[in-house]
Amino acid sequence: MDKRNITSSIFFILLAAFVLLNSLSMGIGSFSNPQPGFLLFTTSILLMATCVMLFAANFYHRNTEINLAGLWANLNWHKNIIVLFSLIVYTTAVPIIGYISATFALMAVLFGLGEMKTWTIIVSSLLAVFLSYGLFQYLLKIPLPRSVWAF
Amino acid sequence: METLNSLFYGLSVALELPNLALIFGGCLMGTLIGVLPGIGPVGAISILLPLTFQLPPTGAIIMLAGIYTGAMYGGSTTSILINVPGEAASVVTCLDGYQMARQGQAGAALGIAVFGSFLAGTIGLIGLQMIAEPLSFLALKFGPPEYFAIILLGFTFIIYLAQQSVIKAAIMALTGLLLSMIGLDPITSQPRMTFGVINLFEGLHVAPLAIGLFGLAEVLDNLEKAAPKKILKVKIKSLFPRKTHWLQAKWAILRGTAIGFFMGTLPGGGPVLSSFISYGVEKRVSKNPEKFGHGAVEGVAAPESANNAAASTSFIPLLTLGIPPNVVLAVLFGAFLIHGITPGPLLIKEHPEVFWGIIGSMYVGNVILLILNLPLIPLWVQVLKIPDKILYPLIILLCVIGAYSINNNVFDILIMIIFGISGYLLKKFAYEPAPLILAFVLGPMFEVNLRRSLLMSQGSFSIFLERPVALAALVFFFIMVGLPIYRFIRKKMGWFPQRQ
Repeated sequence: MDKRNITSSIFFILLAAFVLLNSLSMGIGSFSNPQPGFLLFTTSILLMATCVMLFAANFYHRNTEINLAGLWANLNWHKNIIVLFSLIVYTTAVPIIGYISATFALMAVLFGLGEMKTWTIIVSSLLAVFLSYGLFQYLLKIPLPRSVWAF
Repeated sequence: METLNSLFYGLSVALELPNLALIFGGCLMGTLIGVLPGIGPVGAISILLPLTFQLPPTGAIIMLAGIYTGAMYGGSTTSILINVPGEAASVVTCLDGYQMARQGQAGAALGIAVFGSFLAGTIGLIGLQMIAEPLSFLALKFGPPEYFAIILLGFTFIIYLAQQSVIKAAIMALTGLLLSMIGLDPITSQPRMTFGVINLFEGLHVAPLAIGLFGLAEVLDNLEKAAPKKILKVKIKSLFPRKTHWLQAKWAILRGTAIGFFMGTLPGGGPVLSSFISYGVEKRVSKNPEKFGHGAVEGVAAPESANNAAASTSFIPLLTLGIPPNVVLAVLFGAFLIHGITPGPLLIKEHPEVFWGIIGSMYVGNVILLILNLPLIPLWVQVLKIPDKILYPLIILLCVIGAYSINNNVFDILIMIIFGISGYLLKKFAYEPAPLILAFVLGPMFEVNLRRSLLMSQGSFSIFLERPVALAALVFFFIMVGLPIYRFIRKKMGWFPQRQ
């Protein structure tokens, strides 16, 4: 049994069920007058049916054995956790402390994952922040997030 | 004669100094993106989209087209030199290209890849130029039923031509379709699946989705592996293939071009699939199939020609029907819309400078890439030596800026992160994200045309049978859907008795 397919099909069945319920509240309408929920309803039914097929095919197929734990075995997955956590903190912090400070902190964490020397991390982060700021803010005139103190 | 005049017009647009600089910049960036493993043309175009915001629409689009063709050229370098494909369309080039490099023929392999790409790309462009204009005029006669049926057939191709599981590709396409419906209803303006979040009222934008699924997810996937790159220490004596190489590769280049030409126009086809098919065909027709995988020059020539021919012809459905046939062009479709241009049959009439400018710029881009690639290969080899610990943080920074700059909204960074995580998990669970993006882009067109058709016919499906183009598309659709379902049920469930 391929547990990747079992798990993912259950996830998509739940997603389809959620959309289906929402589409009913929006109104499906009729063929002559389709309403906003019409295609959501149809698509979620089709998604559910496809996922049931995937689930059934894998449930009865016993030849292959793939476990979920094996997908992360011998990998540095903790680095991904750090990256994602820093990015989420970044999205919260950037409207408050602005692009320069928030991006410097983000880059320091990301370069830090590469196990570089402290001064290399600081210099690389500063370079990345100021070069990107110069390129996008001044050269390409793309306004980057400012802090609540407007810098 | 009129097509020739239009082509000269396109070339005159492309050869204007600012546009020439943009083509050059696009090709250079595209090659760099193609060379660097870890980020493909989809992520690259999405991330680099902000660079084009201040440009006029023609300049912006031709620069993005340059990035696309450049990436197709550049992908072969890493495949041949380090056995790591820079982008998906060059995966198959690794098989023989790397072996040629190990045998001291790296220069010949790179040379064949570049010359083959140039020839195929140019032939593809001639096809694009010949077919696009008449098809545009034909498409002007299409109404909602035709568009609905063609997009439905497109969905089927996307699923049918998936590289992994067809059923998983269908799940991805249906999920993409659901995601495309987030936001205000296109006909009644009623909010759908927005959960009161104002930022979702306009729906999701394709760029944060693509950056997340193809940029951030790719970095996350590579980051956890942390395997050091092994660059083969080769002395590239000459980049010009010898006569024997040409003799061996000439038919492979032509066959690859023909396959790429056809596959490029199919939804779900494109450069990636055409490179795999052409390699398979070449192996099958070869008198010495055992050479494949051990440094056969045909194994480099065929896929590289195919992916470049497909890159050119994949513009046909986008420019004429407004239907992006592959995921890169789906992102490019989003770029067209950002610049206020709607690709489709009216493009040639309303924006001839964009339509012919793209074609002209691709001719010029092909020549630039031929000139640029050969002397710059030593530089690309040096670029490959940039350590991942420097490269990946910079790609993440570009992902963040790319997502933010679409609407100058931090919410889009959050969307990018969510889809980055989703893309990473999809990869782990062996799902292809390409059908999701394609269905996401085609979704609004699909829905509007379906609902308009039903409103026109007062709920009768006979409207799709009364129109020849819609009917033909639906017949194909039913054949393509019916066959795999029948095979799937028969194989997996054993519901039908097996033939003795």
